[in-house]
Amino acid sequence: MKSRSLSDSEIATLTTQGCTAEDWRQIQVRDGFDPRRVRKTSFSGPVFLGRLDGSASLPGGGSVPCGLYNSRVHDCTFADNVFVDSVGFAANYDFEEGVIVRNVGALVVEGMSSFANGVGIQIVNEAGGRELPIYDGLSAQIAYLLVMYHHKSRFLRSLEALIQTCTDSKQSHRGRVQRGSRIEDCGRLRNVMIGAAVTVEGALELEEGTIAGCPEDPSYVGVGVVARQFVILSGARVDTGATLERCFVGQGVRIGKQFSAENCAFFANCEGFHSEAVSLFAGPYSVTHHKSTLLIACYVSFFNAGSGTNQSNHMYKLGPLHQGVLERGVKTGSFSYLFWPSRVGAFTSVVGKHYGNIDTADLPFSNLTESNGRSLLTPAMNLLNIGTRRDAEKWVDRDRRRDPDKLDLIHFDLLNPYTVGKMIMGVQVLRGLAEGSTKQQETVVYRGVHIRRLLLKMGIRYYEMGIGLYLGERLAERLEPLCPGATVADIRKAIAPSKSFPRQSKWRDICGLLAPAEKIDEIVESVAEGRIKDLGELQLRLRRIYDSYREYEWDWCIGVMQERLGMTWEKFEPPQLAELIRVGGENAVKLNSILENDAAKEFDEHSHIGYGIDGSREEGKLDFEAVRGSLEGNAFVRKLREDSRRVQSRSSRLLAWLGGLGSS
Amino acid sequence: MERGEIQSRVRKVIAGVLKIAEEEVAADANFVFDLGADSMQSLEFVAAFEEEFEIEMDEAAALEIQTVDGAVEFIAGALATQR
Repeated sequence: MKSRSLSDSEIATLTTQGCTAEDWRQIQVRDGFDPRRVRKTSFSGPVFLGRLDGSASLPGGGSVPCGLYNSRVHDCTFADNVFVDSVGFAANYDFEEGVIVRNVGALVVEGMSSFANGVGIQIVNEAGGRELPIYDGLSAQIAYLLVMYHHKSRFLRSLEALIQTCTDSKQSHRGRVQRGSRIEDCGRLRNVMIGAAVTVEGALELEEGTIAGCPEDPSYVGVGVVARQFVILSGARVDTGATLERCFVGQGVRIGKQFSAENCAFFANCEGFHSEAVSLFAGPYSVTHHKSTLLIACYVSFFNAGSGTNQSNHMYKLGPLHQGVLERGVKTGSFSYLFWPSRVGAFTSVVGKHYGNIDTADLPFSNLTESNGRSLLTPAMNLLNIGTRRDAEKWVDRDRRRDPDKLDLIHFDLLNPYTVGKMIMGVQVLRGLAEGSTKQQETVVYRGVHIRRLLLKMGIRYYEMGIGLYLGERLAERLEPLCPGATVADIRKAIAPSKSFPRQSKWRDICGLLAPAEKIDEIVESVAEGRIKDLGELQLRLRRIYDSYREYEWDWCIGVMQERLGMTWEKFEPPQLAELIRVGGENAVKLNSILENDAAKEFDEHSHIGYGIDGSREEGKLDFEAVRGSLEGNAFVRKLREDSRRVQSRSSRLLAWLGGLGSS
Repeated sequence: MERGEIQSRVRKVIAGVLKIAEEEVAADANFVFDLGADSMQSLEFVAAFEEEFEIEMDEAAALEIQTVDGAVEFIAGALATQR
């Protein structure tokens, strides 16, 4: 950018308007600079001033001429049409075009800063050992590998080196406020990097941090926020008295209402209000909304914390060294308590207080309750819960991220090789427990929980229902485009697995990314061997896995079908495929019927309690219907019925077609 | 099996699951409203009926049963078709 020194007449104008400078010769301006728009401002050190001919919009309408007013500035550059007013002290910053900074106590960079890039936070294990270096491009998947793969020491060292290279490049003695950002009515901002389209409004104190943003997905830091050593990404909103210390706030996250967090990371679309979090690794879509909730020393994802949820991570022995894992989709009820170390299986609901160390990772979709001081697990119960299905569908619609570069890779399918694989494990576990029990036993004990003996068989049945439904659905999806004209040869072609088949192991849930274990291990090995050269390449490799989900998923399904049918896929005949589709279709319709039955409970007479407060039962019913509607009118129930009709119709068509083909 | 015997055994099963006296299980009692059963106990009823009467109950249909009488009716039907 072409610059020049101030002319004598410009200096005279500035002086007349109450401006002072340590040395006017250190001030450079661009052609188009208008000295009439700089008033009561003191300059020191080198300063660059851009063109000043535009105006800045004010909240509520109206506008003011761009310029510098009532401020003190040291060693700063101002691009074209910046509006700066009543800034106590701005030092060592570069302000990009169109930036507004108004009524701010201080905005300074002191010494060298990485703006929190590379700051290590003590996550999951409060006592340390799982330190997560945060930076402004961190994804949930890279964080997961960094935090959870400490047994892979070479991998970890290599990955930390890649991050070090990245964060070293962020070191600077100058800060930036990027294009289109606004900072207004704030206290002190020290060593804070402000990205594009960021609004900081009414924050009390921000120290050592980065607030990233983009025009497509602006981020917002609002009233009363105090944050130290933090990274906030695009689309995030942190406001209303939140206190953050050593925290990472991912894309689309909402934090506010006096929420406080220390040594925590929140990934895409998390929400934290009112409550407290310490050493929390909050994977995508984890929410805590209520007071008295403390989330401490754990890894969660798609988690919903009820009010008063609490955990203990030490018992006054060697310190706070225990940790918890709540797999995808866990919910905790009001005032539930868990004792770490524990691990709760996917889509399990936790009610009551649990004083033992439990591990139900292989029994997903369960219900964990407290009965007479004991932890009581009802396996597979949540498969029959309308809320589980609703949750899985609502997440997709609630993705707030508008940034073209969505960092966290998230698969939403409720039934997938990870959860269905766990159900297959669950069947084995429950069968083993059933075989080892007698009719006289009321309960059996499994890894810290009690399970009612009678429910072992039910659990197996419901898991099998889920497995059958899933395999049938995936197969029907493959065959539907071939129906009715295709031959057996066409079918074999359509169901053929990928070239990498049969290399199929267990699947992993890498903080939202569902992937075959060996694909993750390949990446881990590549990083360890130095074949992945930078973080961009690592993210790209993870994205390739994400994009290949359907292909890998089908390979897994074929593997399970082979096991169940006792033959290789090349030998599958139409009657066997028809049976898988029949079972899948029947199970889908049956499960939908059970879910509708569960939904009906939300509308039954019991649910009318408290309605029609001063009237008769009939008025109670009418009041209820006016407020809550009816089962028949419920959109989710209608969707279930529509799904059943779709599945039945498709099954009929496929079965008629396959029946006509016979065996080859 | 006589309907009276089915009803007696159904009441015994329900009382066992809910840990209440058999006398408290009226023939027309609703599992939820009158006996205070929760969703998990509803599942347990199905499992307990299956074990008691050595029958298989369709999951979806069984979970729709709301009352003691309804359970007796359902089990009588299942016994007739499965024996």
